[in-house]
Amino acid sequence: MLSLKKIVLVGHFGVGKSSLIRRFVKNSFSDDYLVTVGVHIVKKTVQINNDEITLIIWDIEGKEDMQKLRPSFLLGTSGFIYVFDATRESTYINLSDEINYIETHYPKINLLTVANKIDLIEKNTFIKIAENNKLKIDYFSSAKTGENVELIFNDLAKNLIK
Amino acid sequence: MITEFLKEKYINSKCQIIVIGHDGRITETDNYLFETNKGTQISNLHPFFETINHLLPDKNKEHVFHCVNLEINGVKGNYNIVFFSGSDALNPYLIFYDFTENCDYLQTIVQRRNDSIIALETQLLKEKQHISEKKFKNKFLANISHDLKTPLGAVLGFLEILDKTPLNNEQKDLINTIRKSGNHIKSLIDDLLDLSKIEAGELKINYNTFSVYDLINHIQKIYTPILASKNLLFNPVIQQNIPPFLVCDKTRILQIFINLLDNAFKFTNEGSVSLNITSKTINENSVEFNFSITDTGIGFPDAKQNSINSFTKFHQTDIEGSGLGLSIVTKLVENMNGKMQILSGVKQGTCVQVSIPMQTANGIVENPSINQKIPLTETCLQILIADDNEVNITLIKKMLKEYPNLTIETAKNGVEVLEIVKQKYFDLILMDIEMPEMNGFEASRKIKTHPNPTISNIPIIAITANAAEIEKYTLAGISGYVSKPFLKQDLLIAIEKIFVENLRKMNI
Ligand SMILES: Nc1nc2c(ncn2[C@@H]2O[C@H](COP(=O)(O)OP(=O)(O)O)[C@@H](O)[C@H]2O)c(=O)[nH]1
Ligand SMILES: [Mg+2]
Repeated sequence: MLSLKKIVLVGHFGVGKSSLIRRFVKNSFSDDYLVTVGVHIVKKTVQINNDEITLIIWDIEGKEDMQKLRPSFLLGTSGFIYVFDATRESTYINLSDEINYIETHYPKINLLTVANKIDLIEKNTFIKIAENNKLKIDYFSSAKTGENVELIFNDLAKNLIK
Repeated sequence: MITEFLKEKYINSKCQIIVIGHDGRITETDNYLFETNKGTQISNLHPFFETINHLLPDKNKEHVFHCVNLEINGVKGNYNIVFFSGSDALNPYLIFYDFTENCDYLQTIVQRRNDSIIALETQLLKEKQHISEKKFKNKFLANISHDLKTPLGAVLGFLEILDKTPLNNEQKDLINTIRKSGNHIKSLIDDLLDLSKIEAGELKINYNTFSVYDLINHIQKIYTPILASKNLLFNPVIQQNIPPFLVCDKTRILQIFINLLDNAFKFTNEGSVSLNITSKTINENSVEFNFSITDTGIGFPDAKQNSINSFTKFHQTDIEGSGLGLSIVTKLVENMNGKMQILSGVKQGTCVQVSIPMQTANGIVENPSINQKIPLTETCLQILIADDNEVNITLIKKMLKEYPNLTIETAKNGVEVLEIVKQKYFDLILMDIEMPEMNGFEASRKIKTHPNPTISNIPIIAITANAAEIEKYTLAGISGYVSKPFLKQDLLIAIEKIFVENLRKMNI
């Protein structure tokens, strides 16, 4: 069975949304930061058991506040990946509020939270920070090393066809 | 007609309309912005249109997508896209408004803004991490030092008790060795505590007046036993015109000297250790206090030459046993706004140069109104200075040199004092208390109880570091005292007091 799912990466600017997508789709990475203006859309098909799922991935510009997102960007979305930067407190300080907002306004949409740039910080150090801030984190990732990137998209795809 | 022309030129060229069938195939396109063909399935143009296909079944809906980046048949652009899902009367359509230029402009602005925010946040994070690492390290050091000190205290304490039990010579020797090692550990722990305090910014520099000459005396006393055991030369040289009193943290200055000299003595087996103290005037009230310690020892390995920074961490130098002394000195000098330089080479000896800005206490000493009050110039007086230390004698002589009417004699200990007073008349004795052979207290007692009244009536001013014993001195008949370190004015006032009192007595 072939199915098509739209997923959107959300989170502050500079957390690595575009980089995660680039790593997943093109298996490449760049240290240069190029601001995303508007939205870029790419697709990649993944194989989950016997099913093929084409993910239409929306890479939108970073926003500090979910409420400020253009609603059309979220139209028809099946899954969210909420990305924050493990090295920048400002990108996760409001994480629980943001997640609450998503869960109340888009209750049917799958959501994963990802702490990215984990290559830049000692994992145990960050786990402590996460505990102190009561952060709900589903995955640690690094677009730079590729750590967990494939896994995140695959797991989301699995959730989408359940 | 002109409006048609302008619309064509400015609006149509920024806009493209594509009409599609309910199956998502293109039925009409004006190709103003990018080339597409009739019959093409739009989802083949770009993944964006997959989402559009999804929305087709839901009729009579209009959606606007802002700022969508598309690359269609080689043309890149950023478009606002209006999508209508079609009705019974109307086919679905898409209208593309070209915002590429705006977006490119926006891109540069947002890029600059985001870059600077990220840079700032990263910087803050680094600082925060640095501070918390430092805190952790210092707390850890402080804790471990305390934990080590308690059992070490017990070891050293019981060692003392053991030492008092009947022991043969061999056992006594062993105890001495253990004691030495124990004390060594203790001083290392103290250093660690000190260093963690300095690093944590808890160390305060307590400014007080100190005498450069006293400092050197003290240092000489400390190193006398080492000099005897090592057969080394130690030559402290103090520049003639150095202000005798300076304002700085006496204890910490001494610590700097001891740490540096400890190293110099430790790593020098033959030759000499020299200490040179000079000063350079900065302005009326302040000088640069400079000193250098030069040894003929084994020196530092090349790599560490001249580099102070290598000592600022908890690094030891490559020389085993050099301890934390140098790190502490570096930090202390830094805290006193001073500078330090090390010149060294393997087997070439080491020269450590330190320079610390200090206030002089001279301003007060040379205050003429105070000098005027003291009429020492009017009478001829014979004064005996008793001090075992040359440097002290020089200092007092210097303080009194403005009074040519004063005749000064010196004695090195109590025995000499008693000899001299029998042969000559004196108006005053300035008596250092700590002296070899016979100390100042004992000598004073002997003078005051002397059967010859010419001798027993000589006023004595005690010069002492131990102000707590003054009462004892007074009972022994001493007329006054100055406590170390003292200013010129202290000395003059003490002398004046005695003569004023004598005059009063004579009037009666
Ligand atoms: N070290 C490291 N840098 C990353 C990682 N992900 C992204 N970056 C860098 O972070 C910056 C912002 O990444 P980007 O993907 O543009 O963030 P976006 O604004 O969320 O799309 C870029 O300079 C990337 O090179 C990562 O996992 N590790
Ligand atoms: Mg981006």
